[in-house]
Amino acid sequence: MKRPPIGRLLVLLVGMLAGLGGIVARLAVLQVSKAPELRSLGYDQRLHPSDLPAQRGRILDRNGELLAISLEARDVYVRRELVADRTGTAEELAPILDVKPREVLSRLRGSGFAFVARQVDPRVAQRIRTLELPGVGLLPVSKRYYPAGPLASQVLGFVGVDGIGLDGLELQYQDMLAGRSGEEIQEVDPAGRPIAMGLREVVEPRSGADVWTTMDMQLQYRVEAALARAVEVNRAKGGTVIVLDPATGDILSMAVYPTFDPNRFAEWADDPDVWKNRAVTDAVEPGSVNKVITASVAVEERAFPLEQRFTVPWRIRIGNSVIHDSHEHPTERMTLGDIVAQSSNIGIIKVAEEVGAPLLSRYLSRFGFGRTTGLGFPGEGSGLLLPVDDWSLTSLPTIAFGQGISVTPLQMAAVFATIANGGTWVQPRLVRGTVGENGALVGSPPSPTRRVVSPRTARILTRMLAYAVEEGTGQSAQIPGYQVAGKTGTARKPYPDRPGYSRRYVASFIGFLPASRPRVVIAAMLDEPETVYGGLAAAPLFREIARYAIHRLEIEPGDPVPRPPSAQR
Amino acid sequence: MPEGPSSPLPKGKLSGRRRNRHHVGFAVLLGTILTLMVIAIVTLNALLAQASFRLQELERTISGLSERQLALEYGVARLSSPGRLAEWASDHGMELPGPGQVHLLRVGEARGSGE
Repeated sequence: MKRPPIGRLLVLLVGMLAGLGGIVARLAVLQVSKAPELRSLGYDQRLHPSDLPAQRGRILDRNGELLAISLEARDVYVRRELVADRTGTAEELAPILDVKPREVLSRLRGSGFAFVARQVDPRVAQRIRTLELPGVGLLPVSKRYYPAGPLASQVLGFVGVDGIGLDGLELQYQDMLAGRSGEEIQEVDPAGRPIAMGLREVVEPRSGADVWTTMDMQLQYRVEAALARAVEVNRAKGGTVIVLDPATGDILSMAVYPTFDPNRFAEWADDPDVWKNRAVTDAVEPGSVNKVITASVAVEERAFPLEQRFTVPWRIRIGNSVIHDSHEHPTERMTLGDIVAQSSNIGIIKVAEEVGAPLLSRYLSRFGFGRTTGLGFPGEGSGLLLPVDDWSLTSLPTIAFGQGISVTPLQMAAVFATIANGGTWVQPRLVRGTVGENGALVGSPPSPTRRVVSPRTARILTRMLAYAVEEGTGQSAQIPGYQVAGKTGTARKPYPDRPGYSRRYVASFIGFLPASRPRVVIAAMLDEPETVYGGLAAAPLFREIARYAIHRLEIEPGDPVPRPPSAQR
Repeated sequence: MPEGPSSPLPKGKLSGRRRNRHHVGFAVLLGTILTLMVIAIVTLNALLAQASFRLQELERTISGLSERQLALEYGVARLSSPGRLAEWASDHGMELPGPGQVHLLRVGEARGSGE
């Protein structure tokens, strides 16, 4: 038998070993160095991750009434390179989406991913799904709804198409409301269908917390309706109303006119000013409502006896300026109570001169001027209060009657709430608490407080303010059977673009009731009303709101408070 | 050659047949067991798949019902919103009472002995 050629066998062996070595080397490359990449590619082919959007929390009023809720919706998207017939696709989608075909067609042009429509109703989405259009898909998202439409819109704010709060409480409590989205990873077949027994991992989404506001929806509606009527009757540019509980700082209602519907916020895209919650963002010169601070300083610091009478002409000259009362009158002898009741500018200047600039400045600051209230609302203004060292010759007299400084309506409402609350300032708040997934209410901590004036001063000021409504400029705010304490304000508006004051006014009335045991503080302000005086334009608005508040909040009349010492009338 | 009484089969041959019979029996038994196991596994697998489908269907139902609840909640809130009620009432000829036309009466605790 012939022996096989050993040389060939060796060559074959070496060849086989080399081939085997190559395979081993390639295996090492694939299994070791490229393993993570290939594993990832494998997962990408088999596993399909998808976001599980978290349910955004609701916003509720103080009684649990729904103010904002998120519902299921779908984004309609297109992978443009997969669309075979663009015109046909556009013509099929357009009537379902209630848009013109050319609008859809414009979104189908080009390549890559694009949204065709955002946040469409699930029923509309189902109609699109049944068409089985190539390249057209649906993404689960949620859409924010505000069941009461424009009610409290500037307070609530709104949510963008990406589910992020863009203004108001929606923005302030974004983190809390949004929750945490989850993820589902599922093994799918080559056609993208889930494999029943395949891998499925779910990270459950965590729903956002519900935010319970301090507002009363029913009261808010009546406040907004009354404000809209007052703006119309007085042919004003706009208006603001705040209703506060002085003891807790709870904002029961906050209305701004004109308003908008957050369900359709895009329609007001060209007018973002209407989104603003002017009650907390815009600073205005307060006018005569500020006299309550000047008077408080005088009483608290015992600057003069309360029976003291000041000689009050109808006008005086300070430097180059002439300052006068709203109406010409003969020179009168007035007590502090009379000055507040009659809202005499000259009288309060005389009081301020007794008090002095440093003390007045210190109390303005203690009442919260020049800094935000701490509400935390997006865009909250701090107003403008110059340091006393920067005050000019006319600063003390003008600030005494509320010109030359600026405050937000909320800051001013908080001043009156301080008097109503026995001299203790309470930080206003809009949120009572939050409700998490376990359904338990986590209450907001009690509002921070600070003593500003003594209870004695608050009592005396209350008597003066009640007197202002009974016999003074605030008579239009009277409510039979209830004693109202309040103050009118008529502030000239400065020019927006140059120094000096225009002939336009902000009319206001801020007060509380019942005077002896205040349950509610109401600040009513009208911007540029035809009838400029606070007593004529804003006090009736206050009265209308107060009447409803009495019923809604079941406010009892309370005992009458006496007149201030040595009141003239 | 005269036939004699049949001689018994060789011992080894007989035991080989028996062994073959045993082998066939064992193979049938094994086949049956394996078939049953396969059927059991396939059935179990089918049941699990069915349960999985059912679970997914239930999850979808739960999700749909939750969504429906929210939608109904929204519907109730929208229909009972003060603005809509006021509009509805106005359309039906109702109007808000004027000042002093509504009096709230607080009913206190009953007093007296009741005799």
